[in-house]
Amino acid sequence: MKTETFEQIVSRYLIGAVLALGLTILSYFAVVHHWSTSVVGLSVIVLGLGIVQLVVQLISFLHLSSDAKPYWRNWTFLFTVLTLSIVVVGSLWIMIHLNYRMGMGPDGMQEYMIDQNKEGF
Amino acid sequence: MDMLHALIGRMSLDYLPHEPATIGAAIGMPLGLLVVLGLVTYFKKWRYLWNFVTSLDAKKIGIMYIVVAIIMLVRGLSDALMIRAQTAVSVGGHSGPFSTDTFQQVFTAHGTIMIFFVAMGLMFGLINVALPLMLGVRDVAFPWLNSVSFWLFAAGMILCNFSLIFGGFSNGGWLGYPPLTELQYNPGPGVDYWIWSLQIAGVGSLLSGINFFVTIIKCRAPGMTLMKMPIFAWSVLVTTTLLMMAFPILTATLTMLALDRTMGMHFFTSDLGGNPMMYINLIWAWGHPEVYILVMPAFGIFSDVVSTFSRKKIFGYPTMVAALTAIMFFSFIVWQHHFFTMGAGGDVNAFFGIMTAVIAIPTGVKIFNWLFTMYRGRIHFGAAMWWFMAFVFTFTLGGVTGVLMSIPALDFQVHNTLFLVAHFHNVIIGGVVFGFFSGVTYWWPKIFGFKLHEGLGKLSAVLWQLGFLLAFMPLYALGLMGAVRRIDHYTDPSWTPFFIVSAVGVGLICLGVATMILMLFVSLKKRNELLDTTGDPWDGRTLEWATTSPAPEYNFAVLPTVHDRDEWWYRKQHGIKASDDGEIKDITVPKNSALGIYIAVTGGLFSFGVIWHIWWLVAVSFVATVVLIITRVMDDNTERTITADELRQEANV
Amino acid sequence: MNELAARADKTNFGFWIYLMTDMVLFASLFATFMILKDATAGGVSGHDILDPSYALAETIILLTSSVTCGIASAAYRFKKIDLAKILLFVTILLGVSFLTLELHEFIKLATEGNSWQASAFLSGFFTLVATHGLHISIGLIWAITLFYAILQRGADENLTRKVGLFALFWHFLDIVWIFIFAVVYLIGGLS
Repeated sequence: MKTETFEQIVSRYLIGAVLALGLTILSYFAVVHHWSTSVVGLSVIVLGLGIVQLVVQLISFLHLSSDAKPYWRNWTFLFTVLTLSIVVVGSLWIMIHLNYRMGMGPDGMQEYMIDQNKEGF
Repeated sequence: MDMLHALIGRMSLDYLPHEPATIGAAIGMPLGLLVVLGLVTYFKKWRYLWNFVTSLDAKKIGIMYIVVAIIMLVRGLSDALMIRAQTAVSVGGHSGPFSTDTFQQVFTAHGTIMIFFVAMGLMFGLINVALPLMLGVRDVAFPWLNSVSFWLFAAGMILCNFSLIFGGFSNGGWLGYPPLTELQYNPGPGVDYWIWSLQIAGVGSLLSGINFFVTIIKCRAPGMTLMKMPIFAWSVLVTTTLLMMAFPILTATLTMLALDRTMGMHFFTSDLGGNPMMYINLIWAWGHPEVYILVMPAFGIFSDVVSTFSRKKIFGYPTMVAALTAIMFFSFIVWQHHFFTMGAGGDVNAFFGIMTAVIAIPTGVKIFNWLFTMYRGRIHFGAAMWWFMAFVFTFTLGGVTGVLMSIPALDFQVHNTLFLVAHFHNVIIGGVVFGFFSGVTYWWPKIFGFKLHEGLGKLSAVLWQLGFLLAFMPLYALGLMGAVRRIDHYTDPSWTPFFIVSAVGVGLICLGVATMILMLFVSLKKRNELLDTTGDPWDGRTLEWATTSPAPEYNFAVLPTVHDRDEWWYRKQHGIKASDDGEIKDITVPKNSALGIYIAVTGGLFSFGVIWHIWWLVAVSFVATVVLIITRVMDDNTERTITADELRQEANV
Repeated sequence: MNELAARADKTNFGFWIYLMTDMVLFASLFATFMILKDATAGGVSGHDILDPSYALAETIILLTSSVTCGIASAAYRFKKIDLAKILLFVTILLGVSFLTLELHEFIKLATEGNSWQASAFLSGFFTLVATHGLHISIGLIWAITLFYAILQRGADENLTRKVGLFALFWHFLDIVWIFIFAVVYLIGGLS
C-alpha cells in the first residue's frame, strides 16, 4: 500500500467532509421541501443520498480503497452488506405478508379466503 | 421503594425450589461442586488449577470447553430421561412423575443446554485444540479474547444451572417465543435467566467467531495458502463466517425481549402494537445459521478423519470447499421454513421451501466425496471411523426427512409434531454429536498423550447408534399419528408402546455415555499401554501430528514452512524434517491472565442484577466490567519470552 | 512483515470484523424499527414527534467530530502530538454535545407521555437510537482514556494502533447515524 503524506490524508478527510455535509443537507431539503409527493419517492431519494454518503465516508474516512491487497476489508464489508440486506429485505418481505394475511380479522379473512379460492385449485 | 427492596431487588425465599426433582438438583449440584473442590484441596492442586484456568493457551482453553460440555451433556441427558419417563406413563387417567410446570422447565432446559452448552462447547473446544496446530501456528489470533470467550461461556452455563436452585428456569422452550415469554404470562425470573445466560454465552461465541476467522485469514504457517489448509480449517472458516453474521441477530432479538420484560417496551407483546411474529422471524434468522454452525465443523472433522483413516487424500478437495461455501450461503436464505405455518402465504413459503430443498445438494456432494475417499483406500476401522459410519447412516436419514419437510404442504401436516422433533435430533445427534465424538477420539492422544481404549470407544458408538434408533424412530411414527411436541400428557393409549420404546432408547444412550466414562477411566488406568510416543498415532496427514503428544505450550519451536496440502504426509513422503524449517530463535508467548475470569464474573453479576432487579448491582458490575477491559487494553506488558536455549533443551528431551 | 506490523495488521483486521458484526446488530434493530414504525397503538407517530431540523444539528455535530477524529489519528501517527491532542479533545467535546442533544430529546419525549412504554413504534425508536447513543458513550469513555494516555506518554508506538482503532469505531458510528438520520428522522418523520 503506497503511504500517504499527512497533507494528503487531511485533504482526503476535508473533501469527504464537504461532500458528506452536502449530501446530508440535500436529503434534509428533499424532505422538508417535498421534492417528491409520494412517501416512496422521498424514501428512494433519501436512501439513495444516504448510500452515496456511505460510499463517500467509506473511501474518505475509512480508507477502503483499491490499494489494500488482498482486499479482505473490501470483501468482508461487501459480504456483510449482502447478508444484512438478505436479513432486512427478507424480514420485510415475510413480515409484510404475515401482517397483511394474519391481521385482517375474521370477516376480512373470510372474504380473503373466498377470493383466493375463486378460481378453484 | 423501601431500603430492603433497593438492596435485594425482587429476590425472596419464595423462589427456592418446592418440588422433589428441583430440590434434589438444588442440593445435588452444590454438593457435587463441594466434592470437586474437596478433591482439589486434598490433592493440593490449587496452584496447578489456577495456572490452568488463567492460561491463554488455546489447547488448555479447549480442554476446559470440552470438560464443561461433557458435564452439561450429563445434565441434558438427565432432562431427556425425565421427559421420556413422563411420556412413558402419563396417558389417559394416569399422570407422570412431574408437574406440568416442571416438565416445561425440563424440556426448555434440555434444548437450551444441549444446543448452547454441549454442542457449542464441544465445537469451540475441538477448534481450540486442533486449529492452531493444524495451521502450523502457536495460538489463535487473540489469545486473551479466547480466554474471555470461554469464561463468558462458563458464566452463562453457571447462570443457567443456578436457576435450578433459586428462581426456576424458563418454561418457554429453548427459543422462548413471545407472548408466552412476555411479562403478561411470565412475570417471574425464569425467562430472564434464560435470556441472560444466552446473552453472555452469545457474546463469547461471537468473539470466538471473530478470533478464529482472523486466525485463519491472517495467521497461517508460511506457505500455507487457503487451498492448502486441511478441510477442517475450511469448515471452521465458513462456520465462523456464519457465527459472525448470525449471532448479532440473536443479541439484538434477546435484547428486545429483555427490554420488553425489564423496561416495559412493546416489541413482541400482544398489546400496544407489539408483534410476536417479528420475534419468531428474527430468532430463526439466527436459528437456522446456528444449526449449520453446529454441523459444519463436524463435517470438517469427518473430512480429516476419513482421509487419515483411509490413508488417502480427501476426494475432491475443491468441491468439498465449494460445498461448504454453498451450504454457508444457502443457510442464510432458508430460515422461514421454521414457520411455514405462521401464515406468510404461498409465494413466501414456496421460495423458502425451494431454497431449503436445494441445500441438500451440496450436503449430498460431501457425503459422496467421503465415501469416494474411502473407496480403494487402506482403511483402518478405528473407533473414530465407527463414529463416521454411524454418521453416514444416521445423518443421511435425518437429512432426507428434512427435505421432506421442506415442502410446505407436507410441513403443514408435521410441523411441531414429534416428527419434527425426530428430524432435528436425527441430524444433530447423527451429525453434530457423532462428529464431535469422532473428533474427540481422533485428537485425544494429541491433547493428553495417550489413546482412548478402542474397544470401549466402539462399544459406545454401537450403544449410541442403537439408542438413537430406539429413541427417535418411534417419534417419526408418533408425529405422523398426530402427536404434538412438548406435551406432558396424552389420551391415546396406542401411543404408549412407542413412548416406551423411546424411553428404552434414551436409556441405551445413557448406557453409551456410561461406557464413554468407563472408557475414560480404563484409558487412564491403562495409560502406559495406550501411550502415544511418536506424536503421530494414526499415521496422520496434517500438521498437528508433527508435534509431540501432548504438544508443547508454543506448539512449534520453529513455524513450519508448508509445501502442499496434507503437509505432514508430504513431509513423511519426502523426508523433510523440523530442522529444515530454520534455526531455533527466541519466541514470545502470552502471559497468563485472570482478567477473563474477572470479566465473566462481573458480566454474570450484571445479568444476575437485571434478572432480580437489583439495580445497584447492575450499575456497579457494568462499571467494573468497563474498568477491567480498560485495564487489559492499556496493558502493554502481556507477553513473556522463551529463549532459544530453553526451546533447544525441550526439543532434545 | 515484521512482528509489530503483523500484530497491528491482525488487530486492525479483527476490529474491522467486529464492526461488521455490529453492522448486522444495527441492521436487526433497523429491520424491527421499519416493521414496527406504524404500530403506534393509536398514539403518536414519527411525524408527530420527530424533528428533522433537530436531527440535522446532531448530524452535523457528529460528522464534524468524525473529521476531527480522523485527522487526530493521522496527526498522532505522524507524531504531531499537540495537534492530535487538540483535535481529540474537540472530538470528545462534539461527542458530548451530540449526546446532550440526544438525551434532551429523550427526556422531553418521556416526560410528555411518549416514552418507550407507550407503543411498539416508540419502543423501536428509543431502542435503535439509544443503542447508537450507548455506542457513542462507550466511544467517549474510550476517547477520554486515550486522551489521558497521550497526555501521560506523548508519542507511543502502541498507542498509535489504539488511537487508529478508536478512529475506526468513531467513523463507523457516524456511518450508522447517516442511516438513523435518513430512516428514522427523515423517512420516519413523513406523514
